[in-house]
Amino acid sequence: MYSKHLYSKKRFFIAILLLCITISLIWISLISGNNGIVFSDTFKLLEAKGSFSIIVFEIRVPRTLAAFVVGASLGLSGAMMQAVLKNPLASPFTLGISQASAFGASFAIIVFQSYSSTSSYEAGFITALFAFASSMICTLLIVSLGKRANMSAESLILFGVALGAFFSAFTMLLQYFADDIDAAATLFWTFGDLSKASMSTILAIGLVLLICLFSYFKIFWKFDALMLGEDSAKSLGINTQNLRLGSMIVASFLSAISVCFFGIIGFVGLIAPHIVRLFIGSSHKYVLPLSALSGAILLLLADIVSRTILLPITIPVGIITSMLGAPLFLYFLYKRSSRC
Amino acid sequence: MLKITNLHVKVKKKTLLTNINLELKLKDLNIIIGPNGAGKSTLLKSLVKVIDIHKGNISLDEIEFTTASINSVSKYIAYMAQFNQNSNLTTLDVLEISRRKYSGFSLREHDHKLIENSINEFALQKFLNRDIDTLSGGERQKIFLAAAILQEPKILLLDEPISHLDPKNQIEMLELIRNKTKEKEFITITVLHDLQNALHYADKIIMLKNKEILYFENSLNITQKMISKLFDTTCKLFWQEGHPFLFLGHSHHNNTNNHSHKKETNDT
Amino acid sequence: MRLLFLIILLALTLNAKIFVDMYDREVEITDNNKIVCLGPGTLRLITYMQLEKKLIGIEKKELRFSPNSAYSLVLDKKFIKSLPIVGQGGPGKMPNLETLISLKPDVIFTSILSPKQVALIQEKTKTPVIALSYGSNYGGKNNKEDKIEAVKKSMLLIAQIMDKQNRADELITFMNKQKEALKKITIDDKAIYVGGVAYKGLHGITSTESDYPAFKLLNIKNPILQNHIGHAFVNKETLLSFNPEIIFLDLVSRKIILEEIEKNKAIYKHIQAFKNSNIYWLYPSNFYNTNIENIYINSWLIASHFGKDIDIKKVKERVYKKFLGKDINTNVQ
Repeated sequence: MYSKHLYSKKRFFIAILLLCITISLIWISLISGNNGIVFSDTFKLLEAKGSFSIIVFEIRVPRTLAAFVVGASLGLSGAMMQAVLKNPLASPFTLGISQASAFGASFAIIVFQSYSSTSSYEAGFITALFAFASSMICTLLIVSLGKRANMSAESLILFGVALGAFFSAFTMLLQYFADDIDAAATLFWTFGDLSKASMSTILAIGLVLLICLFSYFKIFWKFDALMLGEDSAKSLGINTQNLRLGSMIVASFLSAISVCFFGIIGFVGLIAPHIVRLFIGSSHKYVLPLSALSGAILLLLADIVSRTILLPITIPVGIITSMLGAPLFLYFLYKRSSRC
Repeated sequence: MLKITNLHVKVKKKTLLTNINLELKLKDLNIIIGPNGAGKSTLLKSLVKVIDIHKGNISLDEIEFTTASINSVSKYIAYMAQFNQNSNLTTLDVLEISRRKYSGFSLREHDHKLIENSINEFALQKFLNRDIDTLSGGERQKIFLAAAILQEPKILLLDEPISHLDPKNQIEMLELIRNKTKEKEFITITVLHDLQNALHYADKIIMLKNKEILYFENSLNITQKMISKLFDTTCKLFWQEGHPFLFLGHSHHNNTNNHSHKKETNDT
Repeated sequence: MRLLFLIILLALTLNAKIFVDMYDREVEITDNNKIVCLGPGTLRLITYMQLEKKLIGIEKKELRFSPNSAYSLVLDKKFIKSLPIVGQGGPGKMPNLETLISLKPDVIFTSILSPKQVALIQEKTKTPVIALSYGSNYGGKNNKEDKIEAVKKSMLLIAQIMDKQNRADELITFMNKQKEALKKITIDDKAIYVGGVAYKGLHGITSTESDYPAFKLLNIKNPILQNHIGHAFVNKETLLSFNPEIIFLDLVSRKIILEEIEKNKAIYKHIQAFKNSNIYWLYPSNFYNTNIENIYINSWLIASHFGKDIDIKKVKERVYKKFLGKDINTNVQ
């Protein structure tokens, strides 16, 4: 056959490599904790009882799984946003969508005190609903603005940053008037934290993620077609408007549920797709699922660092992703400007 | 046969096309020429429903296009836009998209066969793995043409397919377009700025001016007067060895007699 | 209701008891030998209850041993320093869960951690967590609970869990007697103000509190805060126009206050209290939550500045001996 196989092989190889890295990081995450990364603990991992197994199953396993599903959700979300907005700087964080979700969730928690009266599942559902609703407001604003033909990529991001600041301000306002015992809560909404990971939230996010990944199979080529140009895509029978709006809604939802349970974790959604495109190109058959995998890798890495770099304190993982991600973001901006 | 009756195109109260009537036959290479702003690209875009039609009728044989959805119309039409944005998709990715239009996410044996044929016909083996924005303009246009043909359309619409190419590539492309039109029995409508090539390669010429059709003629029946009227400029049209040669504007040379040109001046 | 009764019955037969903490949470506790204190003020209450030897872990913040919190000076320094660190400490800061799990305490006491945080700690460490309280604005579940009442309830709770009923009774009886004695004192109605109150950090003169406990015991209101409940920063202008005749300042913020007065001499010299040198220092009220013993000392101290004949040295000695076991020279800065 034609040498399709040659290139597919390279991409396939990279996919396998990413998978191996993910598994390694999961393993390292389980042996990281109070005493740093202890390789000899690997054998202890399978112990059924004792305080070490409580540590592993109550603290490390939930965090690891959370890092995986949240990182994957953010990576996928970022990849979708970058594809349909044709803006490589787009991500839930840079478009203000994460901040909007945080506001919605804060609102639900503080104004409705949703944890006091209802069961925790109901409360979680209400919080997620508000987070999503709030993120949709931001999303619709971004989409309608992104339609403008002569808006540059940077301008859209500026708009997103402004929206982000706007929603953050409201979140801070809510926190200011809330019960001051939750001092840590303010920090949580600014820099996400994986320490509250529980199986129910992990399953919820994981389920949504799985559904998204399965549906991507059917439509990934439409993202490729979009890259050829609006008119070209339309001529292929693609309803570009629906594709754009639908994808943004799904992407926002992915990031909203992550934010409402784990706080704002920035830059993962921005950087994961970039890394993938660097090695694989823009074919969305690979970019979408591998962005999810890369996002998981980035967050697993950040989580391990957050738990081992300042022992015995655990830093909120959002701080780590911002500290590492912001310079990278600046680098991307610099590269773009030097190209023009 | 593609029938366009009484087509009017309006976008936000601005008229882009009026009173377009055309009957286009299979295996014909129709070329649209005309001054800027005449509505050439608009005509193509309205056919593929990228732009909405205000009034009028478009039908392919017995199939009504006017009321059909963009999805169903796109099954019959392949459209090559004037500007294709750069993207790091590989040649193969681009070719595959044409088939995914029909097969979705999993390409079938049939699709692979067609793609392979296309690669051979257009000699694309060397750049299968390369990102299209690393290729030259000529190579890129070839790929887009191959992609358009891969869609197995009945109607092939090409918007300025040769504008940024060097002469050699221009000829190559036009030959390909013409041959494929005949071979695959397309109804091809192409917008060209290059008048010489238009006259040379077209079966039919559609002359658009001021959002209307000025003339719709067989290329062999084009007259100097028509061209003059179309572009509001003087011109000279003469034939040699059965090929038309067009010359716009006035001569810059002082004495036509001192010309070493051995042209016959056969005006029609 | 019946279900609850059955559960309690069952729990009792299983040698586990159920207690209701200050967040109205029902917590089952089986042993009470090894404890950990998390959050501002928890260790103080444990120290009052003379249970500090049962600690198996300590927060970093408790290693300051500052005279601003007298209780820290009666702790066995060597013992405390030898304990493993369970976290940074501070309001709303989560401890290191892995350390807690590996230490395997029987009970974890907390203060000023939110109900969600408390629930999370209990869930992750599989250890019973008891939330204590210092009352409104300092971690009480409602905003109106009186500080001293909340502390009494917390101490009773500790007593029940740790079998220290006698000690709790002793302290509470003392506190009630003090309250009665102070009630009998009448304070002249003068424009009075208290400043420099610490709240999540040290602040200047403008930091004040509506239900300042030492005032409350003497039935004095903090008139500058009309409708506000809890801690507040007042405007300098408000202070100027209120023009208090007598001002009490918290010793814990002494350094900041002295600098402030130096800088803003022009403003302060217009206030009566400054003109007539009616400025008096009080013992530190808040330093990693409130020093309960100082509330009583401060009340007597305030009364003495209103002309009542009180031997403050003796008062301090008595109060310290009761709460802390001995009279210490705090030498507050």
